Amino acid sequence: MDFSNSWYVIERNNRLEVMSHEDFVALHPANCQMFQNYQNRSGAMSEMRRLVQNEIKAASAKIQLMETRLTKSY
Amino acid sequence: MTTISHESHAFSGVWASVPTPLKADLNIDLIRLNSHIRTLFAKGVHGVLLFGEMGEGSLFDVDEKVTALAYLIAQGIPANAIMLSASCTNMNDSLKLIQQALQHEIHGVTVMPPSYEQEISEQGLIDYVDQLIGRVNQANWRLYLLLNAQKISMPDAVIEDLLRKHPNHIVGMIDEGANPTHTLDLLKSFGDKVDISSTHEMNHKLLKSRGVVSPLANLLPRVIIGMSTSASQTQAHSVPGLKVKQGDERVQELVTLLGKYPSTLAMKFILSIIYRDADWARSRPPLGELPLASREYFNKAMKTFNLNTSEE
Repeated sequence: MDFSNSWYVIERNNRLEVMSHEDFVALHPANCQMFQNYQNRSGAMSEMRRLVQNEIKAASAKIQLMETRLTKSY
Repeated sequence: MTTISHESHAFSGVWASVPTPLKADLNIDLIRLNSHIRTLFAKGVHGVLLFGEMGEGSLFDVDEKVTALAYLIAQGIPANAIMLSASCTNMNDSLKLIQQALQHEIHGVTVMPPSYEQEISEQGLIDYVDQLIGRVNQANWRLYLLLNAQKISMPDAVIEDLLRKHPNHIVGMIDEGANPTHTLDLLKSFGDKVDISSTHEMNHKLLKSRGVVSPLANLLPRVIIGMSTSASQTQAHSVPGLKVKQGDERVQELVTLLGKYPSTLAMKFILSIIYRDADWARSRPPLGELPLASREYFNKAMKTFNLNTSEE
């Protein structure tokens, strides 16, 4: 199977990135976590967008919880 | 150019028995299925078994399976790296599925005769496979008998008879039973004629077979590959904060963890954790989704297990 023109969604230093196969193979495997491989860049970008939206939702929920606790404490 | 070779027609390497992701309307999510398979291949898995027990094969009709197969091949998944389970509830569906799948020149199909409310005779089992192979009526296709004594018992005499009659079509047997003695007995009796494999990862080392079918390769592809190839059997997997463990210890841990729940639901739920994608946890009724208590258990258990997807 040919991966040379494929794209990866990875996480490196707690940040999500989309990366070409060429760049991905140059990385040390211990320095990143590979999520998924996609045939094209738009597929990988769409997946990264979904993951970032997840992170935003999780962060919003945390902020909401903190605000509720703060309001109650006053 | 970076490629993973799928040139060989031999059954070799690790073949993942993949779950089937679903969209909100409960139709197959072809995009997720494609990216999951590509990801497994990128991690070194050699092939995939579609719509087996792990892929909830009995919950999809022939047209859905053929459409998914055609889509994956059109998207660049090598046809000879795909095996398809053609175990349907009746012969005509199996026949239709095999005939359409073979047009895509896939590696092969797996078949288990359907179970029935009444007892099935040995001759009935032989007739089923005879009829199926006769009606497919094509040369050069590979059939793997799927054996699962809990669902339907296939005695050695039946296997012997089928192998004698169909040496050009039946090329292997995949034992879904967990008992290593049974798998080893198959190997002793028929290993010189066909490939013998098991879907239980802990039995792979015993078999020393060239090809293995593995549900856990969806979660720990590199570990399963390491366990199944003698050169890397001594490789240990580093888990932060824990002692360094061998691949088979990690697999045993995961088997123990999964053993308490229906495997497909548990597997899909863990994939939903790995991919951070709740949609992966969806299954068709009557399977549905894991109950809340089970999901909480798995969330905690997977944190303890500490799955390191960059290594495993």
